[in-house]
Amino acid sequence: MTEEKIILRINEETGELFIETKGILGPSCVTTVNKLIENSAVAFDYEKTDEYYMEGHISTTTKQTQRINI
Amino acid sequence: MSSSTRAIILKNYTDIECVTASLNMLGLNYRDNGTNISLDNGINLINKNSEISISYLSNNKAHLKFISDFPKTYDKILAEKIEKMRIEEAKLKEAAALNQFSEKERKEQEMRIRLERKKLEEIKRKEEKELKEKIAASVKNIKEKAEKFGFVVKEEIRGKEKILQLVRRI
Repeated sequence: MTEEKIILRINEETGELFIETKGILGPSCVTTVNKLIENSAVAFDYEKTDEYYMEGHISTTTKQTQRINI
Repeated sequence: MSSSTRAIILKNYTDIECVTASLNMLGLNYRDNGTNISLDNGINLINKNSEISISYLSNNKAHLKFISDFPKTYDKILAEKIEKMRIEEAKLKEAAALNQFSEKERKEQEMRIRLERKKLEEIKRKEEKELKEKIAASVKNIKEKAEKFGFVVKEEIRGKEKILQLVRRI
């Protein structure tokens, strides 16, 4: 059994979020974060580490271009 | 660490002067037709009921750069405008003490500056309140989704940061 961890730090004054994932292999780490924050926040910067390039458990989905009105 | 993501919960913006000053500070060209500010990079700022919201494309790099830069610039300019009003009020008091104005002139200027400062402070308070409500709703939404995805959620507050720790075993 492996552990997947996501830590979200939310600045309550500015609305900025810093999200780290640990133990989630492959692109599913980004997909999972995107699903979690969808309709709540806008992700504008990603940084991938070695684990990202390892084979993941969940297949990725293609995100379609979408015009968003907040 | 697998990845790190920076994101933001966006608010609506109320002060049109601060919006355009922010666009100028960011060096962005725009056209304002009263209800819509169109930026050359394709972003639209929609002015509805005196609230300005951002319409953007989720996979456009320039748009995401704007999402990253604009809120900070706007908040900075709004705070600076309020501070400028406070300084003007203090200067006016000094000048009045030195009898540089007639009583009538002093009162008129004092009233103008005070009203402007109070208006800006009210805008700031309203935006802060709305953002807090949006953050609370977003946190609730994220926690519900996380639980649906099988994560155990732990929440803590550290200073001005709310920290959500999501853990699941697979």
